[in-house]
Amino acid sequence: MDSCFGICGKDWVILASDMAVNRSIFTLKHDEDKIMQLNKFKIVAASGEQTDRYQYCNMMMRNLQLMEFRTGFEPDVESTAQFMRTELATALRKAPFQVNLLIGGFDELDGTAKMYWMDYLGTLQQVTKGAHGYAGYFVNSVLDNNYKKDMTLEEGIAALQKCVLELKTRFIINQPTFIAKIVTKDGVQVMQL
Amino acid sequence: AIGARGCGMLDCLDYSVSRSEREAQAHEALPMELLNPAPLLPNPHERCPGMEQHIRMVHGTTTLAFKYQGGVVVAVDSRASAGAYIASQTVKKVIEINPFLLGTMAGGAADCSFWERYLGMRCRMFELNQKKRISVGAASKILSNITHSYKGYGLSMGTMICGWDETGPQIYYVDSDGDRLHHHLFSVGSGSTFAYGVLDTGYRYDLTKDEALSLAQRSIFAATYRDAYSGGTVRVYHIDEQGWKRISETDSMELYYKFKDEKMQ
Repeated sequence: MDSCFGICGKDWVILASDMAVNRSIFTLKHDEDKIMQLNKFKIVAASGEQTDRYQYCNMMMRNLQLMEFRTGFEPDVESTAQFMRTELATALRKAPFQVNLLIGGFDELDGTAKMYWMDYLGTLQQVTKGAHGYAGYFVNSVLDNNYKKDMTLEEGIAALQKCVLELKTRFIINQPTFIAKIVTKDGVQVMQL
Repeated sequence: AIGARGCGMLDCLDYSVSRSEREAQAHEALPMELLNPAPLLPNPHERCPGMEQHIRMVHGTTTLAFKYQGGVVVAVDSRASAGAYIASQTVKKVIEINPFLLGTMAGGAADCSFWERYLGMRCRMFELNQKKRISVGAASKILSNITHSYKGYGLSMGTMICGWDETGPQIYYVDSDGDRLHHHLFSVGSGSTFAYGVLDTGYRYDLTKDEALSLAQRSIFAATYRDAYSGGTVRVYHIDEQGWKRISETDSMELYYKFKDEKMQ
């Protein structure tokens, strides 16, 4: 029931997700941050069960930190996404993680930003815009209409705000607050949508 | 056990009669079982009738905890029910892990009390190894890692680990799914919706100590009034910088008459 969606431009990427933790018929909290910052230029928005979401993203973050200590540099977005996919796929037939992810990051080497869509079975695909969960039904068309090649960061934020408005209008589940994280060449910024 | 779910273990193997017919038979059988004064032990050949299949209300209890300017207030009821039978009205649902940490109990009594005692041991080991008291976040993480590793094996617990550490008052909700949530206000159990009603309307961060304790007591009482699986005595604890302290233990019937008299005036 978690909503997460995002949009990727040439040198920026924004991921957004709702902040509610729901349990049976009520909401336990309204301010849960479901977008984890993996390292200086990478973020991952996860949707799914809280325990799997936290355990998986935490494990990835710590393993990437370890890789950084061992090799001396942060891996690029593609390598990070492939590493995360491998871990998810390996666990799939033993103790699967019920998480769907959007991985976004900025590559310092060529100055471009990339976004990857990954589902709980280990399907990985590079995308320019994407969504997970029920939100996808509402938000994919809005993103399709508002995306243009080489759009600016402000246009991207406006597009996501339209997505949030659509969810608040039509989605049966009440999700009052949304958090968005933006990755650019300056690192990660947080904003409320 | 608290909030026991007597589930039919063998129904997945029985293909002889259609499922709806069997369920109808089980529902007809229910009234006679209710009249039986002895405790209902789960019969593996019977279905689990009705409610639990539709609403996953596992924890037959009401517990709550919230943070305010003066610390943390924890309040619980004390009823243990096995189906329609009240097994006990005097269960201690707050587990004293160490003088600065409290854990609440909802779900399986054995699971909660065993693992919270184990957590107490791990917290003591931490103190001996690190020469400082464990933080509430670390303690709750130890417990949530345990529950995550036992995920799917049938543990049933919904607990709140509350305490005061160097970062101030903290409450973490940990449950048997492996979830661990940090927030300023939680209520767990079958009566939690009723408790939330009173708690959400009366809660402010800048409550005084007396107001906070009274709010907690009222919230649990509201739940015991409406929820069949909550009742007994309402116990209220307070946690401040010096540690936890048990403030009051009042029977819910006494509270009913007290609030009724207040309304009359």
